[in-house]
Amino acid sequence: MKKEVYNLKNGLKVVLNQDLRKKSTFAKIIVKYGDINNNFIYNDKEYLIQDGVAHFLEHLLLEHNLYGNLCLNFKNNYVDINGNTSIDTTNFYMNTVHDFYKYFKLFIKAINTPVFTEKDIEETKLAIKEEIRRSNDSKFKKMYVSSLKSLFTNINISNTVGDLSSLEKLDYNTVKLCYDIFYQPNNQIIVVSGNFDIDKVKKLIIQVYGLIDNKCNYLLKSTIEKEVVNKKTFTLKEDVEEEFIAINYKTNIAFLSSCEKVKLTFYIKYFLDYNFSETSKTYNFLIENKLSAYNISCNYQIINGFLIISVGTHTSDFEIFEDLVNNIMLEKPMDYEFFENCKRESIIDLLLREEDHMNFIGGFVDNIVSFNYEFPDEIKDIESYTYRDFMEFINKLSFKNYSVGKMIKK
Amino acid sequence: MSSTSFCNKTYVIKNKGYNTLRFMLIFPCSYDYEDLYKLNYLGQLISNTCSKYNTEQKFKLEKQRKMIINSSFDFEVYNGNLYLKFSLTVPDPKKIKSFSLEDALIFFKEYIYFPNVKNGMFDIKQFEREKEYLTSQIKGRAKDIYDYAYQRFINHCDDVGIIKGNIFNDLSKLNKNTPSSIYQYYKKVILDNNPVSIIYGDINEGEVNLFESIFDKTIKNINLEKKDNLFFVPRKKVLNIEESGDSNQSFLYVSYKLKNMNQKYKIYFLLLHRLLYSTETDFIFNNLRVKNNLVYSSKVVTYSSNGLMYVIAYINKDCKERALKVIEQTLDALKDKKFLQESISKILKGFKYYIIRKNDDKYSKLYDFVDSLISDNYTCQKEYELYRKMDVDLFIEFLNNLELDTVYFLRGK
Repeated sequence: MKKEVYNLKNGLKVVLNQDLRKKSTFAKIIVKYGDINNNFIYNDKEYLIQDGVAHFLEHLLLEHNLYGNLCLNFKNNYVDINGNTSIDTTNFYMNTVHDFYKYFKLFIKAINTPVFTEKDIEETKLAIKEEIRRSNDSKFKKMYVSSLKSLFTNINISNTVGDLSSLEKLDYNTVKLCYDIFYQPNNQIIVVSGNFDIDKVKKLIIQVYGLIDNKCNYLLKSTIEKEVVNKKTFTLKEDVEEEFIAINYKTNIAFLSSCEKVKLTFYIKYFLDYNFSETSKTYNFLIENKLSAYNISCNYQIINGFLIISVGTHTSDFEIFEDLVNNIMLEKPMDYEFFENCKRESIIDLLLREEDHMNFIGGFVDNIVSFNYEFPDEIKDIESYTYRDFMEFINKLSFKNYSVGKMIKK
Repeated sequence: MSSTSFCNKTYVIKNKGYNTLRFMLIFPCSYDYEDLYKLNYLGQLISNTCSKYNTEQKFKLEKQRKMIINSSFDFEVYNGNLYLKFSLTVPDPKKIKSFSLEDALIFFKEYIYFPNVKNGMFDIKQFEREKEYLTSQIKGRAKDIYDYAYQRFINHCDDVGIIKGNIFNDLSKLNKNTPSSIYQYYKKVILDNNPVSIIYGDINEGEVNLFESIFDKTIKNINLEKKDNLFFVPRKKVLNIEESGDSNQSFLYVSYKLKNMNQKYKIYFLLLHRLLYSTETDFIFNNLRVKNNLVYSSKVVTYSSNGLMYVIAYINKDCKERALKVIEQTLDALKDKKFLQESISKILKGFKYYIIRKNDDKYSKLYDFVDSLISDNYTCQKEYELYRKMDVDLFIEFLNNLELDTVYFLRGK
């Protein structure tokens, strides 16, 4: 595999990963825009945009652009295409085994040439209404969003799709403003991976993106987020068979360098696996004492300089679980053999990434988008990790700020 | 009734360019719907502990120590026969020097052949733990609106009992099983059975020999009776069921069955599925979502060997009639000879690209091989040829014999 990362003069970041062993070529446009960015200053005026607009634009641009409905157009021509929106990015994808350059050009132009009208906006609302209803039916999505909301005071957390009443009110001017603000080359990353000619793709990117200037200057309202959580507890009432509890930790990691943040993703995984996976004492304690019949769900993510960890399970013995998890996060137990086993697992994982460019590019782009670290994870980095460094690193992290969310029976 | 037969030798499928090896043991046997409950127990019991590593913690730590990337158990039913599949995925020892293939294979053998059994029964404590887990799962599924709607639909639609069997229908049957009844079942389907072995990856002779020396077995031919004549029959009058729920979305299931179904129509159902649901045509989604904005998503499910096709549309509670009409019109549109011919041409072109794309999938060769061994599924090439030779008049006749059978609507709030 041959990889390159560079910036165009207009600020567009380009990530290329050539893998000539494969037949398909994948491209992705990442726009650094999600509901988290809904508060900004433009032309000396402050804007607070409603939730769901980033996601709305994702639909609108794919379905109403220079080429009509791009999804339909591409699918009619045997090219896979889709999009998704996260808390802080909007992503567009395409994948094909034929005529990559032709469709890649259309793909870039469609996303970067807004032609949508008020009528298109009204039409787009219809399918999104159904998506909002679907989202409202997801108990665990509600739990996830409520968990994040309980942690943050100034950073806007949403369910990504918005709600029915604000969707109804959404108008052309708001959508166009958000498009103009966020869909600029210096706020985008373009990724190409798989079977392609590097020089040809580079020329094509210059040819299409080189003509696009950044349209306007804006300032994201720098929200100073406190280390303490917004709300210590919350409860959702749902029609569930088994009740659920999640303990959510908010840890400031702004002091870490990009490289250290990448290391953190490995270390925190080792730490959480040791303490909460099926091999852990915690899991076995829950099973032995019939406190839960299920695994412990455990995940982490980075949001605006904070490491967010969520540990949860299906149980009604809320206090016991909360104490159990909190003691672990305070005492930070680990063992040397487990650490070494985790390292070996990471090395195998990286070996597997080398055989699949899609797998490889996912981790590589994550490093760039989340940590501004323009290198892929490498086996030699993992090999250099030591148990001592791991313990020092984990001990630097504070898990004293947390919220507790409960999903109880209606 | 016809039969299926194959030899239980070790099949080696070489595939270079990857860093893992996969070993599979497939145990074929006859199948009864009541076995589902035993199978679910067995799957849990055998995947979480074994005799040597008799707690979940010990078992999973050992897997990690032995650098096992993945070990899994699942099962499939084809033509009324059951295939229990054990897989072990490990690093290629030629790429990771510290990895011992022998240790990993011995672990694989221990987990399949030496389960957590004492005195002719599975460990009682572990059994109770798995029972609690399965019970929770069954009760939990009843609260999931997607599962609930599906279960309600399939119980109405499947009036002959071909596909509705699953453990979520009857909790009492789960409770009838005991640690010894599950062991007896294990003995029948695993211990006293002859598995087929498959090795996949950049494998050398030494690695094959190592596998064969650890999994020493008697080579013989296996014959199983095929139950390939289980067909749905359209009811005389369309069954229209409407219920209310408290979900935000509404669920519309619309099913079609074929008059006088037999195996020759399998390819017609496959083509119909492609026309309605594959990327390049996607007529159901295009008509429901793109042209009419009635859904966010929809699905088409086809049981091509049994003669059933159904559409699932997640819609607004007031759109049932419109969605029904769109689905009906979509099927009617296919009866236009010119349109159908053009659509089949698109499917054929898309199929060519699909075959190219499949080369990027690490396990496609393995899946194709397993498919050819245990099922009657067409190979890609065969399927392509059958579409190419499809007589559009006969396909239209097939469409005319497709009858609307069950409409289930779970109306949201």
